[in-house]
Formats: sequence, structure tokens, C-alpha cells
Amino acid sequence: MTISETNRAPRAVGRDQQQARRFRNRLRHDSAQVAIVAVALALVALLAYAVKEGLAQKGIKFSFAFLANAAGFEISEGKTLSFIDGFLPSFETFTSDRSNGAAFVTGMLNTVKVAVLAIIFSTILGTLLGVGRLSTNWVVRTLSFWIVEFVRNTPLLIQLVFWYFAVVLQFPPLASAAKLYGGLIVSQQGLYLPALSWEGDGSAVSIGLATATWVAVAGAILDPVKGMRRACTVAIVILIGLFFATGRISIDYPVATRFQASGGTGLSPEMAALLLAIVVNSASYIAEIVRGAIDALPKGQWEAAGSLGLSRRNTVNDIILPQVFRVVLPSFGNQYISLAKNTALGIAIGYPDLFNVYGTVANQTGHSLEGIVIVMISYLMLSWIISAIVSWADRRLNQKGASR
Amino acid sequence: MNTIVEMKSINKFYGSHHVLKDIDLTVTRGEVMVVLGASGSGKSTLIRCVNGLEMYQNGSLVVDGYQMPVEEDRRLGGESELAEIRKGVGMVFQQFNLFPHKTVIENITIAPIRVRKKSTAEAEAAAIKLLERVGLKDHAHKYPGQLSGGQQQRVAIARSLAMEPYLMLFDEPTSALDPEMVGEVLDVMRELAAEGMTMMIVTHEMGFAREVADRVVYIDQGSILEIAKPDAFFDNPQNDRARSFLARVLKH
Amino acid sequence: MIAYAFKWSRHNLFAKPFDAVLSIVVIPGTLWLVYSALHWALTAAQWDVIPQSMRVLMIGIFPADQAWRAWTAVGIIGGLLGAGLGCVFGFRKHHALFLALVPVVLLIVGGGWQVPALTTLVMAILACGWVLTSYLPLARHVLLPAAVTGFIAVFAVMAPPGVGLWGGLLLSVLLTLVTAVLSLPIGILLAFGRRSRFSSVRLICTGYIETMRSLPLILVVYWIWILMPVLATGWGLADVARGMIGFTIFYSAYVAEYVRSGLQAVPKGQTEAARSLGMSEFDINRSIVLPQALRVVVPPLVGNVLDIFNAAPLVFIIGLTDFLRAGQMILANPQNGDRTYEVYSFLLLSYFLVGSMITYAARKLEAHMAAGSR
Repeated sequence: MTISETNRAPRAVGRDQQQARRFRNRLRHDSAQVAIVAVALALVALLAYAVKEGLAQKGIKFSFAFLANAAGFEISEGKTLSFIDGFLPSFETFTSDRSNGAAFVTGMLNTVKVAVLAIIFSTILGTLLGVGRLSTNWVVRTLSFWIVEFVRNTPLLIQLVFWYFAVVLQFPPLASAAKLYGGLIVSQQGLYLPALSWEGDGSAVSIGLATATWVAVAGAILDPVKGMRRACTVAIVILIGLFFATGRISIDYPVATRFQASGGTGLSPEMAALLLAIVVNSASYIAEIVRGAIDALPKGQWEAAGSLGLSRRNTVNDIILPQVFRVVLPSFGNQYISLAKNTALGIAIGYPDLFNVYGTVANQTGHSLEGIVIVMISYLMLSWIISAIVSWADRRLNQKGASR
Repeated sequence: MNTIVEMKSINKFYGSHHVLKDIDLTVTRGEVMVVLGASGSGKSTLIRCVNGLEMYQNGSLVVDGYQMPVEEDRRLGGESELAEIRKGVGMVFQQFNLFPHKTVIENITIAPIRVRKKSTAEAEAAAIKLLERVGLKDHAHKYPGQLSGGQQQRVAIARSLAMEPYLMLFDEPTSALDPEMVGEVLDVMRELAAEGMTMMIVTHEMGFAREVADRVVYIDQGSILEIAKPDAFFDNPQNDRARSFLARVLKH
Repeated sequence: MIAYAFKWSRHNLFAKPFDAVLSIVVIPGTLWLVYSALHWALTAAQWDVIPQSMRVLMIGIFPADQAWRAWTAVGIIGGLLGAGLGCVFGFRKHHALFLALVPVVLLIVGGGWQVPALTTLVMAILACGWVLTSYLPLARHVLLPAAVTGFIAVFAVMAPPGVGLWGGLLLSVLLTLVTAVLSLPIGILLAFGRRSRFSSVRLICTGYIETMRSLPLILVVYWIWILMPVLATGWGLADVARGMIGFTIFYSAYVAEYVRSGLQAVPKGQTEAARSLGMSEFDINRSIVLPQALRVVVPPLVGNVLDIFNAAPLVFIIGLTDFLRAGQMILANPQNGDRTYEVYSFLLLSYFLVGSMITYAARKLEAHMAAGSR
């Protein structure tokens, strides 16, 4: 073995040299930074220039002025926001004389509507499926497994098309529609559910009750004191009871006639199919997240609970699930975001979501690039809002110092 | 030019935690220096500064005539200059850190080939010689996962030696080993010391420290409390905290 | 036997009152569903529509007299797939059995002798590749150049009749292949960019990745499709090429995130050891960190390939005729108007079959990796 000799000339280590080296390094670092930023900006500028030139060749000018023009087309369902009377926005049905901007708002609201409903239902169904895969019941376990496997291994788009063409459109026509329990109507023309309707007037009592309810809801979610949250929850129940008792809220059952149904809340066949497809699909992914989290818990937790004599059900409910929900929220958040993105597939069956409305507007006006900017920003905001809410909930759930 | 490492009032912080406090230390050629101290005393950090794996905030550290940049300068680059100094400073880690996706011989030859630009044949011939020295010639084509801890650590030593370093750093090389494997690694290190390699060793093996060290450094809470010949240190420590440390570790 | 069945059902179906209730509700419902599905499939369904339109489903409007090109491409892809499998799983008897089963099933299902014969050939090539790499470790070293050559050969064979004619399941496969191959290097670069020394590079890469992950794929694909002609006027890029670019741009961000998680999984000691040997940062990343990171992320990357394959049908938005659209084209024929269930069931089952195989491979890989790392 040779031990290498260090026969190099001693290097100067004076202060000046150190200063010089520091300066050299900083210069090198900063010039690299500047160069990278310059290249990036140049690329963006080049892109913008090319787009502008390309559009100019087609005689189109990049501008957002078309948003104020009348749309001139109908949207099959959905409301738009109107600021006409007063400061508070009101929901109004979209009509063809509304502006293109209002059409985008309608599309956005339709997207949000499906996304919010799907998030709620897929969380419930997904958790059930995930826990079902650990059931002591063989049938439940096997069924949950195969549902999850099948859904995760087939394309969502085909599931959606299947739900629409092979399920919803094969329901009986409205004339001979099935009237199910509690006033639910299932037909080709859509699903109709009983709805709550607001019968209250503008009297002080009504407004007072409504305000009290909102305060109670806010308190039940936001109040840091647990006892206060419980009290608020009780208050909500009492207030809602009061609404019913005084007739300010009543249940509105849908009634089917030969060609249309009135009353209640209707889901168009497109919305029903989209909702079904996305809920079942997302539920499968959520089930997998739940199962993964349960699997990831240390085996010692099951053993410790067992050694204390807890039954399996108590173990799952009191020991396992609380720990699982503490860790799955971020993964749920990712799934919610991809769920919200998946609503864009609604275009395949003609559901008027944001992307679909964009397509119509782009066709009518030729402003497809400007529209894309609007749609992109809308989806980015939707994703950010979802992730902000989820991380807020996550912080809240984990703030009590319980370790993960 | 007999000083290889020269530290002058080195300070290091992790956030507000003061890890190294005004460290002054020199290591001369051929010297074996053992760094002792309780866990968390900063002894690993100290030797990791020598090859720039840890950054220090102020003071001066000169390794083989090369001024190690302080943290402020490191942030802006200068990794290539560090690579230059690291070529001559070998390091052996507590967790071996062999590359699991490469065979034993690939582990040893990768740096000579990539850094010293040796030919594969030349590097492999040297690697076989090194493996012979550490008694693992038959294992050249195995993967690290197929070796015991002691064998892995000997490969790690051979890997460092393949770069023909003038200084070797050992960061608790036997702490992660089963007791029956400690001996084989210490034997290799003993041989290396006898050949005149300059070494800085962090270890908990007191018997070994006493046997091979030329000087012992005792460090506590980031400060050097005592530098002494091993016999003097183990028989008659001057510092109270060093005394109680020795009392604790030598009891069993 | 009966006693065993009794004991089993008491244990697995009626262990507790709650289980019993569940069983009583779920079992009849499931049985009824399975019965009606099977009853329909075996009696009412008219499956003849599937073999009749098999060519459209498989290759869309690709000319029939050019079908040999498609078979050649499938053969090349099969050989490479086999070679890839052989690197991880040794070739076993049950693998051969499974491969042999495919043409036999096709022969039974019907559709003449030609398709089963050609399928036999493809399976044989696949088996050859598999055997080669399982028994000849030397063959693994030439796999990368072979894969690149094969990749180019597939396109050389398929391109002449016009890429605009690509369709059916073959289009989905080619789209998946291109996206998976191209998004890997871009994803790796983005992942490294996200941990760059330069804050500007970090910002750009992070911004790109997060933006792509917040947008729907269908939007990105459509956007690239309308943007390409504006940007590159006169290039005359085919719809297929534009679709592939859109998919690659989108999935690169996902690959980057998988690779990043792999990079984070490489212990810090590895970098430190390489640094202490005086290796340059580039060498460390290339020969020490990246190989270990990629090894960790192989299973999720295989899962990503499945995601790409499952997303392929949404190329309908740019007017391409993939597997799903081919099915809808068949249904659009008034003669087949009432075969909705037959066609969609076939599509779903085909996707399920392919998807399950990919998922199975990913799981086996994961288990293999877990067992291999000590």
C-alpha cells in the first residue's frame, strides 16, 4: 500500500485569497441564476410571440373582451351568479342572452357542484369499502376487494360512458318511472329527490332563526372548545326542528307527470351518471388509502388491543380507525384534487361542466386560447382551495399533540 | 509541512444549538488521534468537518494546506474544490454506507475510475490487492447485502484506501457491529496505524484507543477539554468531566 | 365435507349477529346480480358483434392489408416485454402455460385460425425474450440498446401508411408506450431540478410539476392540441403526435414526483460516502443516487404505466379513434344499435384484464424488491 505524500506546494490561505474565492463563487452562482431566469423568460416571451403571430395569421386578436359579449347559446342545466340586484349575488338560470363570462361561471358552478357532492359521497362509500376489506364477513370482504380491484383497473372514462349509456339511459322513461321510497323518482330523464324548500318570509323571526343557525353551524365547526362545539351542534338540531315546526322549511316531494317532473330536486341523467361514475371510482381509491393506512399501523396496536380483551369491533372503532383518520387526510386531499380534475370528463356525456362550456364558447367565438387561460386558472384555484381546506382540517385534527 | 489538519477556533451551530465551540486542534503527519466523548458531545461533527461533510460557521480549518470554506461560502457552490480535498481524505462511517447496488469490487473501483481516471484493469488489480489485505479476496463479486457487518466495514475501509489517502477519518467504525465482529475491523485499523497512516478516529473502544493512539482528545458539549498522551489520559485525566466519563465507560 | 362447510360459514359468515345481518342482506343481492349477469351473458347476449368487429376494435381504421405491420409491432413489443420480465422474474413452467393459453382461448372464442396462429407467434417471441434474459444475464446488458432499437423499429414499421390511421387498442398501446418512455427522462430531470442548488431552477420545476398536477389531463391534451399548430405553423403535426406530446407533458410531472420520492428514500449516507471519495456531484447523482432511487420507484412507475393506459381513451377529445371510440363507432352502426351491453362489457373486461395483469406485475415487483433489499 502506498500512502500518498502531500508534496504539493502549500496553498496560500490568506484573508485576501479567501475574499477573492468568496467573490468568485458568488459571482459564479449569481450569474448562473441570472442566466437561468433569463433563458426561462426568453422562452416564455418566444412562446407568447409565436402564439401572437400564429393568431395574427388567422386574424384573431388575443383579448378577453369577448367575455362581455352575449353568449348566444343555451346551457342544459345550471345556474349563474347575478349581481344585478343588491350587493349579494343571487343564483339565476343561465339564458342565451347572458354574457360569455356568465357561461363560464355556470360551468364552474356545475363543476363545483359535482365535485362537492362526489367528495362527500365518495368519502363515505370509500371508507365503508376500505373497512369492508377488513371485515370478518367473508362475502363483504371479497365483494369489497373485487369492487375496488375492478374499478381501479379500468378507465374512468369507460366507467362513465357505461354508467351513462348502459345504466342511466336504460332506466324507464318518466311516464312509467319507478317511484321509490321517500318520493325518489328514477327515470331516463333524470333522478328526482325530495328537497327542502324555504317557505319563510322576510320577517324578523325568520331572519333571526336563519342567522342563529348559521352562527351555530360556524360555532360547531370552528369553536376551539369542545363543549362549545357540542352545544352548537345541539342548537343546530333544535333550530332545524323549529324551522320544520313553524313551517318555514317543508319537504317538497317531486311529482312525475307524463313528460316532466315538478318539485323536489332533479338530477339530470348526465349529472347522475357523472356523479355515480366519479363517486364509485373515487371511493375505490379512498378504500385503498384507508386499507393501506390500516395495514401500515404497527401490528402491536392490534395485539395490544387484543391483549386488553377488546372485541374486534371495538378495536377497529376505538383503536384503529381514529389513528387511521389522523394519517389519511393528506392522501384524501390528493384524491379529492384528482376527483375534481376528473369532473372534466363530463364532456364525454355532455354534462355542461367548465371544460364543456369552454368548448362551446371557444367554438362560438374562436377565442380558444383566452378561454384556456380562464379554465386553467379556475382548475388551479379549485385544486388549491381543496388542498388548503384539507391541510387546514389536517392541522386541526392533529393539533392536540397526538403523535402520528 | 508536517501539519495535515489545522483547526483554529472553529464554531458550528445547528440553528441556535452551539455544536462546536472554539475548537483548536492540529494533526501532524503519521499521527493517530483518537477523539473521545459522550454521545452528542460533537466528536462526530468534529471529524466530519475535516472532509467538509459538515459545514462550520466561523474559524479556520486548513487540511493539507487547503482552506476549507465556511458555510456562507459553501451555499454559493465550491463543491468541486471540496472534491479536490476529499480525494486525499478517506472516511469510514458507522453505517458502512457501501453502495448496495454495486458489487464489492465495483464499490472499491468506482472512485479510482471516476475520480482518479484510472483504467478499469488498473483499478481492479489495486482493488484485489486491497481486498487481500483486509482478508476478503474471495468476496470480490458479492453484493454488500451478502456480507456480514464486519466484512462490510472492512470493504468500506478498502474502498477508502483505494483512493490512496494521506488522512483517514473513522467515525465510530465499530459501533454498528455485533461484538464478535469488532475485532476483525480493529485489526485492519491497527495494521494501518502501524504503517504510518495519519488517522483521526472517533470510537468507544477504550482499549483500542489506548493501544493505537498517539494522542487522545476528550471533547464534551462541543469543547475540547483535554488533549493528552493516551497513558496520561487514561491513568490520570486532568479534567473532572473527563474523569467521570472514564469512570462511566471503564466500569464494565 | 358438510360439517366443514357448516363450520366455515359459521366462522366466516355468521360469526357475530352483525355479520349475520350483513350476510343475509348482501349474499342474496350479490347472487341475484351475478345470476342475472351470467344469465344475460349466456342466453340473451348476442356476442357475435365482437368477433365481427374485432379488427376495428384492435386497429381502428388502419388498412386491413397493412395489418401485418401491426402484428410486427406487437411482436417487437412482446419480445421487449418478455425480456424486461426476464430481468426480474425467472421463466417458470406456469408462465409458459399462461402464454400458451392465450391463443387457445382465442381459438375457442372463434374468428378463424389466422389470429390464433399469429398470436402464438407473438407469445413465442415473448417467451423467447423472457427465457433469454432469465437464463443469460449477459443479455440484460444489451437490453437498453435493444429496447431503444425496438422502440424505433415499432414506429418505422407503423408509420408508412400514415400515423393518422392509427386506432383501436393498438393506438392505446402505442400512446402508452411513447408516454411512458418519454416521460421517464423528463421526469428524472424535473425531479433533480426540484432539488437543485439554484433557487430559480427549483422554482421553475416545482411550478411546472404542481401546475400539471392541478390540471385535468383532458385539458392539457386539448390545450397542447390547439396550441401546437399555432406555435409550429406549417409543421403539420399529426393529431396522434400532438396527443402524445400532451400526454408526455402531463405525465412527466407525475413521474417527477415518483422519482423524487425515490430520491428521498436513498439514505443520506450514500451521498456522504460518495462525497468522501471525492466524486463529483454529477457522478454521485448518476451512479450512486439515481440507480438506487429508480430501483425503489419501479413498482409505482409500473402503476403509472397503468394510469397512462387507463387515461388513453380520453384522446377522443382530439378526434382520435382509440379502443373506446372504436367501440362507440360499432354501436353507431344502426345494425348494432342494441348491442350496447355486449360492446361495453367487452371493453370493460378487456381493460380489466390488461389492468389486472399490470397491477399484478407491479405488486410482484414490489414484493420482489422488499425481499431483495436487506
